[in-house]
Amino acid sequence: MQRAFLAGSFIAMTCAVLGMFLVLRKMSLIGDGLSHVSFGAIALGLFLGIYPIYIAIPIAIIGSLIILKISQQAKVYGDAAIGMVSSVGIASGVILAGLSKGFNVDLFSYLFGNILAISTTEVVMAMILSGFVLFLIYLFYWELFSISFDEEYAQASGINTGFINALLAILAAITVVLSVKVVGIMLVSALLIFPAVTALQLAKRFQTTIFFAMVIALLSVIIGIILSFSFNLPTGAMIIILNAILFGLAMIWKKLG
Amino acid sequence: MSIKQIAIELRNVSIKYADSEVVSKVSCKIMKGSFVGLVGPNGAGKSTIIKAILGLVPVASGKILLFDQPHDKLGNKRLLGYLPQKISGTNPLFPATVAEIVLLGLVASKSFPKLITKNDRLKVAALLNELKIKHLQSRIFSELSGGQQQKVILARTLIADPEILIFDEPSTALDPNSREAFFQIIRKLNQEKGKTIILTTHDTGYIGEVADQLMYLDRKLIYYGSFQEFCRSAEMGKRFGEYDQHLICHQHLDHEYN
Repeated sequence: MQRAFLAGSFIAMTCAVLGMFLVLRKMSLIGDGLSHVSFGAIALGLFLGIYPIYIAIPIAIIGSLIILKISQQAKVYGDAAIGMVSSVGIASGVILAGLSKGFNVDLFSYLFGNILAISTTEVVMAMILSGFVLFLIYLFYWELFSISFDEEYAQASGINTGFINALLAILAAITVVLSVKVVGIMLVSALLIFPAVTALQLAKRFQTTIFFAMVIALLSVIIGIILSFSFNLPTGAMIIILNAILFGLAMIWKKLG
Repeated sequence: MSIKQIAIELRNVSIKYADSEVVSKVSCKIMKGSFVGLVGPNGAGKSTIIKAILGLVPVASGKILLFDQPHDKLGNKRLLGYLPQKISGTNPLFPATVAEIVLLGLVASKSFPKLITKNDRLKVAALLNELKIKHLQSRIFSELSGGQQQKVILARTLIADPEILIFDEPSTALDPNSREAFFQIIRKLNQEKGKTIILTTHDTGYIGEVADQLMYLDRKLIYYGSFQEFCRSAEMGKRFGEYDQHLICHQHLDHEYN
């Protein structure tokens, strides 16, 4: 359970910070899309007998960059681009599952996540990758802030918006793959969206809003793990329900204040 | 007397969207310290040419030089400040304070890693004070009125102290009072700090009140020069009809004698 707390906390904070930028850029659903790509990638990993996360990270990064490229260059809206790439991910996963017939149980465990069963190696990897993502967000914070607030101005002021957009896409891919272990493929996007949206209800300044999102994500993951362990309920689903409750409370707080 | 520098030079600039030419073979030299009113009908290419000067839109042929340098040679030097047409280009849900938004104006000129210092925050406070919006510094941007937001966006542009300021239809969102206050600030920047200014508008009625040069664009450059010359020109009278010519000139003369 200690391992679950440690990995869960790191991943929760990363999701909260990154989710804030994705939500404000109206890219919330990229989490959904990339988790579906991860589904295909994990199926490929199981099919080839490679540890699924190793193969899921590079494939999700490629998927994320393809979504970015399609929405920027072809005459396709961003949400349509996400839908296209995401469905290809699911379709590939289903075909691979059909081909092998042997690993459906394993694949199912990735659909809903199981952080209580996380191994020490996975914890270390989650901490390193989360730390890496958070550090890059810290380094590029003001540029991410600028393009999220007003992309045209950011570009006119001389910020390399192409690079920052690609960076965001890559970080989103890494974070999504990490979160699969915590809440599962089906619920990853909720972990990216909920803390950010809840914090936005309470917002006073951008930096505090990000801080609120991190606290909300941490609370939901830690309480979620405790409750699911105590009552023997699925952890990922528990975390998401807690997030929904926290969002409801924030809405009430906002109404009263 | 010192020889005036050329701030912006367009050499035979053409710009295409898809395959159609929206700006055709425009050449002109804008001197440092000029205040140019860029006018023309809708779809004349005003916003496009501005975006090309800013480096946001590539030119199909020709050259754009800023203080004799092409864009790619400018590096981190921030010569250009840009105030976009619509504040609605900004994200209305964004929970940023006025002080945070103005700090964004400093980001591009910093070298990696672009971190904000205490000194930057002091600079922002001083500028907000100068623009008389210091009391707004901790307010959330999206909760301000249109006129206040415009001033904040102006502060974001001015904080980097650019030599050239480009305004795209700045008065669209403003009521008459805020508009007058806004133009006073711009005039001051031009007259006291010697900033080169380009301001686009489709409302020719007031442009003569603020600008000293008139640029009329209708895909091609129809006119570029002083207001006086424009008013005397029989050719322009013929082109625009005497009423429109008179309207632009009348406002300008009002300003001269006040």
